[in-house]
Amino acid sequence: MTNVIAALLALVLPAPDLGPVLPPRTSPYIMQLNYRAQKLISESKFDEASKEMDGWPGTVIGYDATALPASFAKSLTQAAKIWQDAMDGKVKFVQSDKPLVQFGFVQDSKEGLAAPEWKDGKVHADIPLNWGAGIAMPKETMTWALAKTFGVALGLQPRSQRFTVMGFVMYQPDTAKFTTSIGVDAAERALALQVFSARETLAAAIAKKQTLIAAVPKLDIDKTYIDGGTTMQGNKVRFAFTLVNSGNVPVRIESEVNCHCVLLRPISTLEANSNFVLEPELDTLEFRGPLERHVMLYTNDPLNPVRDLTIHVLSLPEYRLLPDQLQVVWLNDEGETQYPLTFYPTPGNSVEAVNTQLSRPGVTATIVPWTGDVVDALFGKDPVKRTGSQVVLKFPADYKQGIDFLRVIVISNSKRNAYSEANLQTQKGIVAQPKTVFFGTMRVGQSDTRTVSLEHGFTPFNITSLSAVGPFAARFEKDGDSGRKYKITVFAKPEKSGYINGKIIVKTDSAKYPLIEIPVSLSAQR
Amino acid sequence: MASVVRALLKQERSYYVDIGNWTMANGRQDELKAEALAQVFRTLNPTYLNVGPYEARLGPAYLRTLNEIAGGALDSSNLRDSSLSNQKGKQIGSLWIQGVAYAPGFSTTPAEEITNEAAPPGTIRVVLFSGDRTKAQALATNEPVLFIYSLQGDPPKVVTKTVAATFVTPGDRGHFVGKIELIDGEWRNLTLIELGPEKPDDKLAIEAYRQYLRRVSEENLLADLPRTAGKAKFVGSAKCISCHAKAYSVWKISAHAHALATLRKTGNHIDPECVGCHVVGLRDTSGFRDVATTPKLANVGCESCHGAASNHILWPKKRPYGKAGERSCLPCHTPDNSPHFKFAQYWKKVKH
Repeated sequence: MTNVIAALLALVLPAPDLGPVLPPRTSPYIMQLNYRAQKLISESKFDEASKEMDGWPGTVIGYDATALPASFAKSLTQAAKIWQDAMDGKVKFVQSDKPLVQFGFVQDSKEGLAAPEWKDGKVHADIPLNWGAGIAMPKETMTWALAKTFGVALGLQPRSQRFTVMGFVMYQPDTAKFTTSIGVDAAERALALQVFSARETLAAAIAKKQTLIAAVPKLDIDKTYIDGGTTMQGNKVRFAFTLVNSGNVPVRIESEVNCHCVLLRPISTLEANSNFVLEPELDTLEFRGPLERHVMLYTNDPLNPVRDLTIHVLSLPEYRLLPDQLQVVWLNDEGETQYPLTFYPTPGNSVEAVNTQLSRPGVTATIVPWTGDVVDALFGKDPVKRTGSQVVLKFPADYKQGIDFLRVIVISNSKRNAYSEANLQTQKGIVAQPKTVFFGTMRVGQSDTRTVSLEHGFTPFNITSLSAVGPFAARFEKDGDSGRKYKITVFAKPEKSGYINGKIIVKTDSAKYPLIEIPVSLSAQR
Repeated sequence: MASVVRALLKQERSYYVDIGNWTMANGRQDELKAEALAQVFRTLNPTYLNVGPYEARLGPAYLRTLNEIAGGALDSSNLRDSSLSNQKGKQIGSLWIQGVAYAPGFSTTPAEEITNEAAPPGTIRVVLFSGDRTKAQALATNEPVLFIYSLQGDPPKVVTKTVAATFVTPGDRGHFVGKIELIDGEWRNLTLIELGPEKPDDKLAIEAYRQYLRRVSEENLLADLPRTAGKAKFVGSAKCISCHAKAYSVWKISAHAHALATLRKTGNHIDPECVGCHVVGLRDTSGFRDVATTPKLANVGCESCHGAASNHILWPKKRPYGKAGERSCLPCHTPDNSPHFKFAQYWKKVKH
């Protein structure tokens, strides 16, 4: 009998409506408030729901901007108008004794603008009146900062997208203005209207004491980390995360990746009780070694709105050109110098070096077959036998003295990655390292020291005299027992302000390199 | 970055540390850049600047100089390098800070030897780890430890935890400064502060940057840039008019046609790292040298996207030449330099 009555009632009474759902990028505070209020309404706890709703800004939003200097009064009016217009006049911002938006103003904040945030049921924003060292805050920036705070009160979340009210600053004091008006963009407006509409729906349900079914988008993900193992550089590795909506309304999703190398076919809506396999694809073309990348999902799941999915892979190249990092090469004082680069395919591949391009005239490169042992950090610490070729570089006898940089491009027949590059730092004769001595900014009268290493790759030498030009002095000492290396300590004590150039003059007993000059510079301020 | 760190350091018992890899160490310009950065770091009174594998490439003599410029804060617990103090760790209050570089190929003490050694009693270990999270996790033991690890790209804004260890990263793009608090022996409240244009530039950092540009100019790095010779030579956009008049007229009024002027405004027109994307063929022996010598190759021209045209103007019908598309834009329109770049929208500005 009871079942019959229930069935009849179900035919007569309309089923309760579903509560409203908020979009991703809504402030988590509002998202959770929406969730709590709906839960209470669904349980017919209207008084408690009403109390909960007090924290959700309505049609009149009170703020406290009493500390705002009068010179910025127009900015405040404009900021309020920007949102009032965007919301078709549905909300109003007013100065209030019981404010929901609490502005704090600081004279000089080197930290710049901090993002406004919800704290203890209020929106707090600390806005500097000056920009860094005494540079006045431009009125446009103030308007924007106030508008961004109002945006947070309306339920929007600050983000890093530029040219938007909720994104980064639109005006800076030290650059040209790049837009003439501050306006809410279509996406921001749509989001704010949706949040406002959700609030209205809940307020109406409470007023009519009408129950709702709490709308709960709930996103479950089977895993948050996948190790894709080892792959050949140039391959695209696909990962699969299963997303399940175990809630009763669609989960809405916005996704971001932290590298341009992650390709993603995003999903924007996942219906209730359905699933989707999200397949980020990591393109390893530009990267080798262990790679970790992230896919961030911004959702409307009120209990867990932001998800971080991590993918990992070890990318091994098809071939190697060693050394793969800047290598110092000492050139002979007399005659030519040869230096070999090693090129070899990694196991299972058959790539060959076919040509070279060099950045300095006079240097030549010859490709010759090679087999030998190499220690390659990508494949472990122990030597391994490899077969490939050597690119033998030949530096002429009259090659540049001192430090120079050579770029070598090796062209291969690889279809994945035709070019590979090696960079060499050539050193010939007696070489100062660093090449120039830099003291940076100093106060007039202040003293400081720097150390320079003076070295010959092969032959011992003696320093016969050391002198300085400018407000500098220097002394030297032997560095080790080889007789090829000295440590020169340079002292600076500027007596006047300005950019000062000087030099250290080193005389040696080397017949070939009797004089070495090391430029020194600093910027002195009072 | 400097203005944010300076503001954060106003709070009591706050310390500034860096995991390293702030230079690519790939030539003279990177050396100058490293010195400028070290100069800025010094003004922030850093507690520990870890030597990453890239800094380690500079060699002992250069690291000693950088350490002097940085005010002595540069160190490593596992790099065997006599020019640094090579402390096993640095005790600051209740923290035991260690700098560990996962630097294959360098003379280093294995990372696990450093992190397995007992920290002084009553201290909490912080490892500035120049390696990825997987390796950091492999090093974690059962003691409470904070690993600040390195990650390519922007960081996830979440903290990873195992039973006792906490793992955080600021990413490697210089877009974020991370702040984490030690409360009742637990690492909490990770905040990643995004360094957008709403953070004011730091006066001392600007000064260091100006000095850096001055040194780049004094050493004439633009003229000294390593260049290689391609199969064809760059000839300049003017040569294209006779056959491609319509395309030329579109280009002439585009931003590409006065790309170098935008660099001149900021003083970066002498910086090889910037100039490459504002002229034609900078890294080629037949490419742009300077405005006086190669005026026809100043600004982004036809050959910037289509390639050197000397062969094409001799044999116009010979293929392949001239194919350009989104891939041609990407080397310059990178996320850092051109954050709003969308091919479909930008293409409309130069469509021909």
